[in-house]
Amino acid sequence: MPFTEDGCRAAPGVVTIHDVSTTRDGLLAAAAEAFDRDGYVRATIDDVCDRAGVTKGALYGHFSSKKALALAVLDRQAREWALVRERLQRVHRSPLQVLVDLGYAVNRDRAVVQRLLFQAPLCDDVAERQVARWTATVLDLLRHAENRGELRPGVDLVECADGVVAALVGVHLMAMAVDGPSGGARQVADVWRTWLPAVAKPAVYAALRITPR
Amino acid sequence: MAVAQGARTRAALVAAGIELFDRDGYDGTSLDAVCRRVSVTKGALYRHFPAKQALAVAVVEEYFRRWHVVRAECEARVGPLQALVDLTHRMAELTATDPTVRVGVRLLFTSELFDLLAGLHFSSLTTTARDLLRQAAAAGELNPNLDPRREAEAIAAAVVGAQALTVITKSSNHRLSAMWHHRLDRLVPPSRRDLYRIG
Repeated sequence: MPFTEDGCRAAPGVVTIHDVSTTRDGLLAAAAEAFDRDGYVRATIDDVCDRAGVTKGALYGHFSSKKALALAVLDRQAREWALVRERLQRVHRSPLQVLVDLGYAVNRDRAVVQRLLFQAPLCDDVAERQVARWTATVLDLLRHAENRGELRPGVDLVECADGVVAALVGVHLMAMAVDGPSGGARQVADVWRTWLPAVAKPAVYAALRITPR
Repeated sequence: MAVAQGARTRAALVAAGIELFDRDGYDGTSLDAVCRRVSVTKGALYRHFPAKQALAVAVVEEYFRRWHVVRAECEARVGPLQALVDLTHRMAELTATDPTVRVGVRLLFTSELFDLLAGLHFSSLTTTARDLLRQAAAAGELNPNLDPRREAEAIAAAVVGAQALTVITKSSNHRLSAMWHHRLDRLVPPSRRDLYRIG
């Protein structure tokens, strides 16, 4: 029985906002599973419908194509990471600690995104933009750290952001190929151990927690 | 005679595969197009490659071979640690400029070959880095108390990430230079730091 946003029972047959959002969320969750298991090329719309328990017509009401569905999965993940960053910024004073913990959060949730993002033909359209977003996020946190006087003088922040993102992408790809979806936390720690002593002032680095919480 | 002819056809098919995968991507390339490019029948192609994936694997093997060749070139010129720095730079550079390397990386990282071959490649990359680091350690080049296996994994990850971003963004910047700059600070004693060239 459908419920409206305020929990009241809606009249039968009336489509509420709540229905729309739960169907959409259900489809996105089902699509994430299908893409994770089969990859972008092999995953089918039929399978996503079966998993979500909706008709093909209902799916096409929300997403015009498999590609649109994949892009929506990536966008949802990007929004979740943005929320994680906001939450971390409320908890930690140091932007570098936010960066460290964000790296672990992304590593934990990366499976579907990495498979989708780096898989042809989708990667030709979206990966560059996504990588640019990650680099912008890292750069932004580094600039905050610089403004707070946490960095060594003369650090090339753009070069650092590029290098950190490349290293994290490499860690994720290797973990996906070698360890399966759960690996990589130790290697993420190695990225921080390589880069942060080079950019942070020694006292700042000493105060950072480098391992996952 | 027939054997030489077969090897020539195979090499031509691999070359055409590199060209077409580069232009049209893995999913956009058909074996018919490869046959047309080389002017052979589908039957002749199937004698060498039973499916598109087999042709792609042969292309990736060419890319693997490039690693071995470049490693030998680097090791012939300089000591083990400098050879490792040079090898990673050279391969990152070739990812941007050399069709075989570019296509190999692209196929390996973004096609169905990832599940088949990426694990193998990443292990062998890590082993290469570890070998050279161990040789450097044995020659007294490195700080004591380093774990060569762990350092090697981190170096391999940085190389894989730099290559992935090079094919994705179609631009190579100096992602590895800064990595090596910081890493050499860790790996070698300050007194020897100036002996190494980056990039």
